[in-house]
Amino acid sequence: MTGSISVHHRGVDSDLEVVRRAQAGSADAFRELVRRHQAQVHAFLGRFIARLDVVEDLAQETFLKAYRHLRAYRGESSPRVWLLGIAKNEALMQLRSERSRRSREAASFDAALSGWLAERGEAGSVEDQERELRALEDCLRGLAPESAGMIDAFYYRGESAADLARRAGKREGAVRMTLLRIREALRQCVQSKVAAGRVPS
Amino acid sequence: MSQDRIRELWTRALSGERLPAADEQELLAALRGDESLRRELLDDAELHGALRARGLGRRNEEGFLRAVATGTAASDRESRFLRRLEGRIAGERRSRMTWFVPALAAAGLLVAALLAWPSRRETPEPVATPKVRPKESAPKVAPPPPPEVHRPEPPRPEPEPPPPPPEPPRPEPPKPAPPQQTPPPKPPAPPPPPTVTALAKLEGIVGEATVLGAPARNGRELFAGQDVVTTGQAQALVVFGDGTRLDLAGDTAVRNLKADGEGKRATLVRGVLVADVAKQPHPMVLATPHGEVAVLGTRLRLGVEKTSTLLEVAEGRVAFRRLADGRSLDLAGGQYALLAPGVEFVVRPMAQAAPKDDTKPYPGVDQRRVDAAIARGVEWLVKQPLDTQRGYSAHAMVLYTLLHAKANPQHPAFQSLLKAVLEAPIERTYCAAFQAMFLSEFDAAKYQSRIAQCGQFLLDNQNEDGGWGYGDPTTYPTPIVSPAKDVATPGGRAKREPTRPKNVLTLKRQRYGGPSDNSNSQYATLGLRACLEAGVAFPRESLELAKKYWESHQKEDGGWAYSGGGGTSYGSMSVGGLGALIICKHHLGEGWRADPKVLKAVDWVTKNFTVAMNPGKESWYFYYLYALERAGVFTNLRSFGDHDWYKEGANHLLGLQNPDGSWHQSGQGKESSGPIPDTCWAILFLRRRTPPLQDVPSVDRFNVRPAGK
Repeated sequence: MTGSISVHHRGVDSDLEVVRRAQAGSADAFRELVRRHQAQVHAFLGRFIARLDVVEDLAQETFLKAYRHLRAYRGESSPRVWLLGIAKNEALMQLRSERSRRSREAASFDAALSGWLAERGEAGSVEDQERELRALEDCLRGLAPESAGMIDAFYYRGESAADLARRAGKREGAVRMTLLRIREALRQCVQSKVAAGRVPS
Repeated sequence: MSQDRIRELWTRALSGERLPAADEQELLAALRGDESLRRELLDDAELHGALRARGLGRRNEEGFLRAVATGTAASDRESRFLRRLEGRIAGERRSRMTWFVPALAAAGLLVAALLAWPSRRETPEPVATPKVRPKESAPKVAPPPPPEVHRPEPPRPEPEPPPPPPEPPRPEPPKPAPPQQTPPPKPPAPPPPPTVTALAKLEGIVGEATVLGAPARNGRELFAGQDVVTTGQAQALVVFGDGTRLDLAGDTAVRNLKADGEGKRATLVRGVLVADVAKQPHPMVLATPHGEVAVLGTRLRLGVEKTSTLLEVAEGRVAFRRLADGRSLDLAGGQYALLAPGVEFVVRPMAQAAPKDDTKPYPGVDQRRVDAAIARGVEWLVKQPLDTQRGYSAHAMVLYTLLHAKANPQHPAFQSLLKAVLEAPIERTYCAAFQAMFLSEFDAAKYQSRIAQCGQFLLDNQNEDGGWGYGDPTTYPTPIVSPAKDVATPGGRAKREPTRPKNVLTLKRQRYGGPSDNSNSQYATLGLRACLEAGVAFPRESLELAKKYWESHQKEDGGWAYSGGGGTSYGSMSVGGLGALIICKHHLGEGWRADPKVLKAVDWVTKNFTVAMNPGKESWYFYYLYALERAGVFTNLRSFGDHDWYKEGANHLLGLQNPDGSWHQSGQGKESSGPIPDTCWAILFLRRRTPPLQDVPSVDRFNVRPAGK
């Protein structure tokens, strides 16, 4: 199961080469760039945008903006940081447009959560957030098979907690708590890797 | 509150469950009161969001790559277009400059001539021979005015009896030359007046029709080169000798009538005409600023607006040529085509409706299987406990589905749901919309005040951009009550149905709503329609805004994405947008069948049609199918291109039903709202009972008068 959720990471140089080919007009190279980074761009946006449809729209817009401004990329940061920077701008624009709504809805859980996540997203630097995502990928690879199987089923195959509970003969609440514990373990793993500077490039 | 309790509530809320209000406030208070707990759980929310979104990206990698590729291709096209445009602008500037230099020289000469003119006038030359020969005397029948020249249309008294062919203003005859020493040569004798016969007569005038700017009366003869203009709501008939008739609607201008050995010809500059063309030896040509129609004998309708020409053929065959590139289409009876920027120039069917009776067999679909599938779906739906129907406030959606499935309203599940719907506060847009849709069809008279509350919710949650988001609760002031009037229909005024409410409840906006998206907006538009049909009146401004929203959020390719800002078009948003735009135009009294934006959307659906998935998304499949059903019903199209949407969709759906009777996408790596909404959408598609809309305004505008009258 672990294999199905692992990230096939490629070196920065290789990414740079792909960008250079895309800048020279290769459509295949740009497609490759999208293929390599779209999951990370989605994950990055998902950290502070709750609605998946909006995440997907913003992810598309991120790559379209990148395409239109390919020539502006000069290699001062890695292509992934550059893409996440564009994604962050898109997300911030979205969050600003939602701000008035949030202030009116402050009494609801969804609105309060969105507001808090937006504040955190705005406050952090793209480089730190990118580093955390890389650490997360590493931590995902290190998950125990049973935990990896649950993450795979729930997050990647889109099965609901009720589906998982039915299959495992457990209560739905128990499945949700197990997922919470797996996330707690992942979070501690990410924090320790970032703190120790052991984040793979 | 214990840590276990907080975590239980937290995981439920994070998974999308709508917590009861007390639980929600309990959780919020805990988060607000404990900073370290909040930090910890927000870390968890970030991780949960990242995993969820990352999963979406990985599941839908191919779809995402396709969407981005479509976007980059559009970007390339746009760049090429801009480069061409810049090139043309630069070229035009250059050509203007080359024109400007001689023009300046000519202007200089003209100024010099004008300066010299008074002195010459003061000392006239003795004119032995006129420098300028007087024009030949005007013929009895004036030459036709140049076509396409706008003429002022001042009211001018028409002489009695019906006047002879008019004469254009004549130039003043030259004054007699001063005494001359040598007599000038005799001017050549004027040519004999040509024999002019009338091409046609003007008949059936209602209101004001003018010929060459002067009001005309029935029986007025029309000659070559003349034009006929109707004003306001007027009507007029141009009847040729062979019985060919051009029936002009209001505010219509036909220029340059001709009939000679090469055939008849007329130019429709603006407005609408119905041509009933007798069999011709040579094609009759009806020209417009955008194209030409050649007919040998047929009945057709032609409409011209600023940038578009619409041709509808009632019978016979017609060639329709686009002037821009000479491309020509052959249209037969029952077909139409639109020439407009951005709209594909193709032959379209005028009426191709699917059979209206949803319980009778549909060709290519096993009706018994459909009925059985719906029955099993209903059986599954009514067994679901009320508290599982959350998230999208599915109670009203289930009721609407049961109503369309012709379930027994006395069934305990139906009654429980009805009670729950009527007692619960209206909290979300989807909920308000489905409730209005259900109650309007179930018993609009009985539940009109509740429908008005749904309407007030929708009105107060409409964003200033015209769209809707999830919505916030509002307050419900008493609406203005007035007696309902009979309903205008294309065939006249119909009596109010006995089940319709006796009064109209008029709403007033109290505020605008939050950020909008195209999903909430399409359901809100359905709800708005349901309110209007239940005698709940909205300010016109609300409908205008909604129409503007759908028009402005349409992508260049004719489809819609989820939000107005970014993203590319995909199936569920595009078919939903198409249906919503038609609803807005219909209720604003605007024709939509030949509306360029509607046709662009139909073209998008045709090009991207599939019932195997939500095109361009791979999620929200059943949601897409129900939106497709609405688009099919509203457009009155049986097929999008070669695709019979109901036949293909129904046969596909029948194979997707679960053994327990439900429909659901779970386990296939796709997003959906859960088995209850999925089952509702599947049944709503299979039943295809969305109430259709008539293109009333189009009929009003184009049906000039019944044939033969």
